[in-house]
Amino acid sequence: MKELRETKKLFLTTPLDEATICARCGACNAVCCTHREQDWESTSPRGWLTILRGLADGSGHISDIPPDFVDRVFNCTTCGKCGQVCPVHIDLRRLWLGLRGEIVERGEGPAFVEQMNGVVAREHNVFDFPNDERAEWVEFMSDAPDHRYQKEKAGVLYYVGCVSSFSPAAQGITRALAKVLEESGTDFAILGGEEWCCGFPLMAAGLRKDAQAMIEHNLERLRSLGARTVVFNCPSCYHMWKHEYHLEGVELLHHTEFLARLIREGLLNLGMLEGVVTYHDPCDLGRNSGVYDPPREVLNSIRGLTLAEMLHNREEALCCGGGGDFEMLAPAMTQKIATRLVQEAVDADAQRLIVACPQCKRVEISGADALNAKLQIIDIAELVREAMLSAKRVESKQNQGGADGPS
Amino acid sequence: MRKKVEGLLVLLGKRATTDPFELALYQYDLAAVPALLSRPLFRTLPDVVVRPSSLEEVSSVLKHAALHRLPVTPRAAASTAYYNAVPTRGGILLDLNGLRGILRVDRERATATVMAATRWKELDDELRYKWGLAVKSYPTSAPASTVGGWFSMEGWGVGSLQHGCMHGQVLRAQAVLPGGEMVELTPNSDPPLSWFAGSEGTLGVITSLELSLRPAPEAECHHLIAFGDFGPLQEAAGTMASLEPKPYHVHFADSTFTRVIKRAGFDTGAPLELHLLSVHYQGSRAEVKAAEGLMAGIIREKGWKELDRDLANQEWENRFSEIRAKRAGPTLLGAEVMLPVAGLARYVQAARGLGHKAGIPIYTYGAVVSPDWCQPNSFFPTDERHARPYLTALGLTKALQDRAAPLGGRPYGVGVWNTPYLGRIWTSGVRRERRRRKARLDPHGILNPGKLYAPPLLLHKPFFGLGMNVLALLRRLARPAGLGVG
Repeated sequence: MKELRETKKLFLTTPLDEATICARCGACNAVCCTHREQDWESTSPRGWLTILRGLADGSGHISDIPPDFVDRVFNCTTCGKCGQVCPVHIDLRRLWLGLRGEIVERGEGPAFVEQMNGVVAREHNVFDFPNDERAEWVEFMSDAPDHRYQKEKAGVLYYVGCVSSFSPAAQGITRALAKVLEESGTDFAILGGEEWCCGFPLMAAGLRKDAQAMIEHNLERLRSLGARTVVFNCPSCYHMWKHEYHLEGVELLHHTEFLARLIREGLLNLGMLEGVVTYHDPCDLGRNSGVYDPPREVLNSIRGLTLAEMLHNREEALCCGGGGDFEMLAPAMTQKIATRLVQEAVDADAQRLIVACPQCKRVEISGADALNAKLQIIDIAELVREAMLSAKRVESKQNQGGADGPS
Repeated sequence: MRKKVEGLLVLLGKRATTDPFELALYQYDLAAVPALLSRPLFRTLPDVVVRPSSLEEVSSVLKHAALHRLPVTPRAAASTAYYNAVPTRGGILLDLNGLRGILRVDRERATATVMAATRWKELDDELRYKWGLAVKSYPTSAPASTVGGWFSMEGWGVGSLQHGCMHGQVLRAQAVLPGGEMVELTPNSDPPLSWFAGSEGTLGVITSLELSLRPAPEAECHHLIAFGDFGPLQEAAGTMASLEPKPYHVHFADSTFTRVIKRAGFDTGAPLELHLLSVHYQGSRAEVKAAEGLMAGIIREKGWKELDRDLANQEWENRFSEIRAKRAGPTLLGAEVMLPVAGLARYVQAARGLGHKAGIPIYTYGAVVSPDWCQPNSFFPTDERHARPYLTALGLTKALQDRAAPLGGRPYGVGVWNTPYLGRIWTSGVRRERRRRKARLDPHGILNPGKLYAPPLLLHKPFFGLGMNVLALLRRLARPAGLGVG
């Protein structure tokens, strides 16, 4: 029953107008991942709009925001699926983010918001680690170049992001992508300790003004590096730069887009891999940025792989449960949401679930553990790296004169 | 009351609440009813909301309700507009959303047993993906509405032309009667399954249903035909509905619909001055290929103006979002009607005339659901935040029903708000029989009270008619300036 087009026109006027335009049909409730786990009407997008309608006076002004409502509004992964299915086309994701901003500006946000703001202001990352350890992942590479990917000037900036820099579960992506870029001959650099949080966690927490310092710093470092292209492996960083950095003349690409380009240009030597894989469209890459085809192009270019789509894919893809700061607030529910997605991958008869987001990878591994699912979860960059190594092994065998593998 | 609901808090634990913050949200459905209208008539605020997760829990709740004579309002998606799932006397709000998902699929028999609160779209998507099957028909609210909900309503929608009313696709069901008794309903059970079809949750609570299915279609094709007048469109609709093989779906919309949609911010690319008829086929590749040939022949023979295929495909894609016209409101008022196809053109003309007179763009769209019957919906944009013009516009809804009645039309769905029209909906014999069933199964009248059988006092004929006439007079006195569309 496919009915959604991939580029949906969404509207956002004032919160009260949109709450009145809402038809209360409940299409949003049917797909909301956090509502699915809680089921009370007050935990649903439709419920929030009804509350909003009740809170505003005749002029649209909201004088009091009850603490119960504050709790509910932060109970959201900002996955954007509510807006994607809304038949009156309300840009609900932006509406929720604006509402969080309003709540925080009034000083009524949940406790974690200020804690996180303090951490990011102090350390410039959300993990509360010293920021000069950002590039520590390079130290785990036996074959990293002497410059450790940090250069004065480069054509491409690889903006790594907090999760890929600090989370051990995600650092494999970073190392794999760095090697892929290096071996493709791309002139790229990372910023190391000079890379600051992109600001997305702050925006998601309603701290729009505080995100500005992060944006300005990163832009200054980009100018100094002189890069004309920025590559991201984190969809949230990518989305943030695309929508909030207001850059002109600089190309912003998610790594799935950049990998697809490298493959198209014949710059990657991909060997054969076997098995059935499925692909999860991350919310901030797919639904919220409209990037669906490049990852599939990459997967389809690896010989021997079969891509089996999950029941919900592309604009209808399920959320992993880990976005919009939700994991900080409700880790147990994040894991429950992730299990639904992992179950879909299992139902697709896939041996591997391919992701394109470090946060999705972390969360989905946790979901697979909870389900005890026999499913390997890796990022598309890791898969590409594996295909390159496969090609190398074949080459090496051929060079030794004992070629019997697939060519 | 507090004491009476305490037992439910023990019974359902964290899945029951009396928190006023939560209760307040269960007072609504799609209808924008000003409090000054609903408050004197009903107590829409429930005393407790419970979320059972099994047939047995539903039974326990209903036993408790029967013991304490508490009103019970069953509800899942609440995607209707006549207060069908809104309390009228407080009491227990029975939120059935915990009963969601497919229980069994029999691929050979092409049947599925699903829990009552399973959404139509999620059901169809999963059936296609996992079993190569599909539902036979579904409502235009399929992304939100539930299988149990549509069975409890009238059950006409997308696919009805080919597969008939949804009621005929239900083979059996599990239900809980008002006293808490769990029953299996079949065509031959006592009470029979047919009693519960369209009973709007007043006779029992359906918890699961077995549906007959069709093979998932391999192909589909969409045609969009434009007409300068609605008369020829009606004739074409009749021709399409009588074709063999029948189209899966036939949809119509008058030109005002396209204009209001444009005003709402959506330029569909369809010509603003023409009325549209869309014809949709689904089936095997061979069937669809044959249908393509059939359609091409008829369109050529009749000299109809067929629009671009992209527009036709887009029409199909938008079948769930006709309500996007609400952006031109922000409120929509109107009437949903069942009407003989033979009266369609005159009805649309009357609705447009009414709009023209009132200076309000009344648009009509709908589906041909059988060779003889269609289901037009006429709506107009208004703004519920401005009480006086809104209340006067409310009178137009009765005027629309009054235009449909002489053409053999009647309101679609009853709930509360269409109870004043019960005499148009059913003959006195049918009403008597329905009341007899209610008295037998729910002698204390605790299940979904205030719906389906009789209007509340203030909506009784003399009051209702008088009220609507006053609104009509006010509208004429304060006729708004034209809205630039229509």
